[in-house]
Amino acid sequence: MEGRLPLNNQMSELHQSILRMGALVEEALNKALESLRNEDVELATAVVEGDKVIDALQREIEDLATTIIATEQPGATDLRDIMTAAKIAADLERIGDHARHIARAVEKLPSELIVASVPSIESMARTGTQMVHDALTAFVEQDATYAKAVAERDDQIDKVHRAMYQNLLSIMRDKPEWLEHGVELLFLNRYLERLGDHVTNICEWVVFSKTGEHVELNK
Amino acid sequence: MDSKTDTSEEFAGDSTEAGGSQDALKRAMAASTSATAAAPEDTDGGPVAVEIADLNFFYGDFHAVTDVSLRFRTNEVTALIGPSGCGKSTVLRTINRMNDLIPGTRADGRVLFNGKNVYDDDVDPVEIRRRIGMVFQKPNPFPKSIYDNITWGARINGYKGDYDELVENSLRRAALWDEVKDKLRQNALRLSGGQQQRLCIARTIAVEPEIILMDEPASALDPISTSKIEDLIFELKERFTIIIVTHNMQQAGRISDKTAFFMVNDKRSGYLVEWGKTRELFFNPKDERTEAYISGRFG
Repeated sequence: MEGRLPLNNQMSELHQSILRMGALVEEALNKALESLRNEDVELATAVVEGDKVIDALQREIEDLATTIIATEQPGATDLRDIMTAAKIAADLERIGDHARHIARAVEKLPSELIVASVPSIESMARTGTQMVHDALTAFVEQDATYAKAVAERDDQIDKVHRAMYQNLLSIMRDKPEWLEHGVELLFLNRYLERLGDHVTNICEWVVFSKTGEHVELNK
Repeated sequence: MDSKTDTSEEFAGDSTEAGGSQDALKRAMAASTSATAAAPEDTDGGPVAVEIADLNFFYGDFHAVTDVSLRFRTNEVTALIGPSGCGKSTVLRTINRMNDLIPGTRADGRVLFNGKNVYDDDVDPVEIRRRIGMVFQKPNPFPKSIYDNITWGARINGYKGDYDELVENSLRRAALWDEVKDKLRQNALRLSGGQQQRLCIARTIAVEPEIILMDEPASALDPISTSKIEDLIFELKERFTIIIVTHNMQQAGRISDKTAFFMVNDKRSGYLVEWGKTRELFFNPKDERTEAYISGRFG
């Protein structure tokens, strides 16, 4: 459709900002994982610091969305698109927080526990990171079918999450001296599980943006 | 005020009225069901006040409106929107036969007011226009006093009540009383544009219509006067059914319960694209032509 150049430019800026925020979140997750795997405290600190940039970008996106609504009076698809962008920014911000939580674990956990848990953590984080990427592709391409397919991958994360949870419980039962670190890992496990939930939210908003219908995926 | 003629009783929609008109209503509703099957979402709201079924309208040879079917419900505001030339004002004016005043016009199809076709031979268009009032784009008070503007229609109808009371009530309901109560004998043309328009609304409601048609009632007014008219519409729908043509989409979004979107085809004839709840039409329209119009993208 043609027409409304200023609105089109601002919508394009909004989409670009979401993609930029998505890229930063993916990078934060990758770096957090790497810092954990290599027990790299310096890199972990960079992830924690970098989260401030993600937070600032969320506010920028919300401000832009508000400005477009106030000045352009968008309707129909444009309006749903703007609502969706603001909601996605909020979920991306939470995913950024989880990257920070993973990075923080580097300093809190002993080496042997990190080594033992990295495969599970890596599996969940990799699935989650790819889901973030693909969900944002679905958003930009307004592809509700793809969004639903992306959300289905949350099951993979949930399976690993459950296995790690059981594993941690039995470790803590057998070795009460690891209780403190075990709890730390339980939290980490939970954050990674939440990663999939946030991406599911993003996918639900993409479906809303495209169809105007609220759906519950993965319920 | 009670000056009902035989004709007006034919139009009675009140369930306490004589059974004959109810039968007419039932027949009319049964006959018109299929014509509006394209709008299955229209199942809520009050009773149908006006139903347009398979309306085609001609100015001489020019086919100005094609196949419009649409319902208006009691105590709702319905906005008719669409680009210039889409026939929305023509459709509005068919409802109280205002188009009859233009020579060479012809309406095919039915406009059912409380179940009775206003185009039936036994219908008095003057009575129709009393029961379906109209407010125009440009305020058009009579060049008389504020008081006489309000009482004019009532005098013609042989109103036997208290005229002072009628003037005050009408002006209060049109949110104009406080501004003019001390100058009722002043010429209405000395009022501001926004006040003149509210006076025209007061004049319209003074004859106790059931339906008020508004043809871009705020398009000649500044934002403050526009806002007053919009507030007024919101209050008036408690008592009246309102059908409004507006070029201002945001206005339609603000004030209407239902919206009907019209377009013009390649033969310059207007047609209805989509209608339904305003929220749905503005947030999630079904037709891509509505989407383009609502988004302000006319490609």
